[in-house]
Amino acid sequence: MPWTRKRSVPELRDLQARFAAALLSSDEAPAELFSGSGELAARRFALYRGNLSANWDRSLGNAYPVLRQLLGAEFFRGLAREYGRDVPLCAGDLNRFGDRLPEYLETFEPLSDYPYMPDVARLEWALHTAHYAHNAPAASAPALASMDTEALGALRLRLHPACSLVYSAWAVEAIWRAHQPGGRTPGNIRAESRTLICRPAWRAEVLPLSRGEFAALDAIRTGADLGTALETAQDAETAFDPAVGLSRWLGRGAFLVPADPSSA
Amino acid sequence: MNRRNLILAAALTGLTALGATNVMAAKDGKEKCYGIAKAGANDCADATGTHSCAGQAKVDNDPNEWKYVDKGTCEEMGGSLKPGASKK
Repeated sequence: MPWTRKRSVPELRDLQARFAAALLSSDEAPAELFSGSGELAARRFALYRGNLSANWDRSLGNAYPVLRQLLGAEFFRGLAREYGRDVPLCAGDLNRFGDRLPEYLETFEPLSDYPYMPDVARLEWALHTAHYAHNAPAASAPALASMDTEALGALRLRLHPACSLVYSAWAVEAIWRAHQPGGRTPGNIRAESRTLICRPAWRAEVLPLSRGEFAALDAIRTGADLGTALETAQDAETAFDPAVGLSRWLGRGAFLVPADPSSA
Repeated sequence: MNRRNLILAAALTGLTALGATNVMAAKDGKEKCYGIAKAGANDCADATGTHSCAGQAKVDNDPNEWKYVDKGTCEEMGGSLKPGASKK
């Protein structure tokens, strides 16, 4: 179908749909979509497709730099192409391309021998979203220090939009650190890891958590009041020290400023 | 004093002791907050805005071009890729 003739809207819609489908397939360009030399059209269409997968590769690599190092650039490029074809981009913002990669990797057959990869991806996606999360004032230690124990215990804090909790049965935090400047390869990756991804002073970072800390923050995330959350922490870990824990989280900007601390 | 109150009293003590340090840390952070960009993000924004220079010369037609190659650091983590595994 040549472009020169005027087309009706349904015809155009059909043409665009076929163009998009051809772009996502791995076959030769369908010659009937273009006028002129079929060979030339096929070459140009291949370039178009090459740009698309290069964009997938680069935007996915921006969100998953450690995963790219783990897999190697060539494997990662192939993964980006498979992912881009299988998981349609639902937002115009390419920074959100990759939001479904962790779950995609769960069933990605070539990586079935690497069960820790989806969790590495989860950690990296949490960092990526922390970087782009909107700004909001964080609760501070002095503000909470003025409360009495009853009010503090009844306080229902909410995690800051830049914060999320990542648990893994694998040592994904150690794997991630191994790929930062000066990082060292972990000895054993068959170890649990619990982390808070946060963004104190505008930089997204990975804060390792004890078992008790993770339990408390997970309780807060699901709506528990602070008293209950701290009790949950001690249930999970007898050595948990609330004096250290709460200050540590507040120091990393883990929570939003409470709506009205005095009435909590 | 029940257990809950003991825990909360301990938490409060921690806040009072460390409160001053946290304020200092927050101030330091504010001074450093200008010009923070995610590494590589600016490149990516350019590349993904209209078209990618990196991809422009690449023809990407052939699914067989796609090979699983173990050139990454996952080997150091104790794993090994299946040699010569093909797509799906």
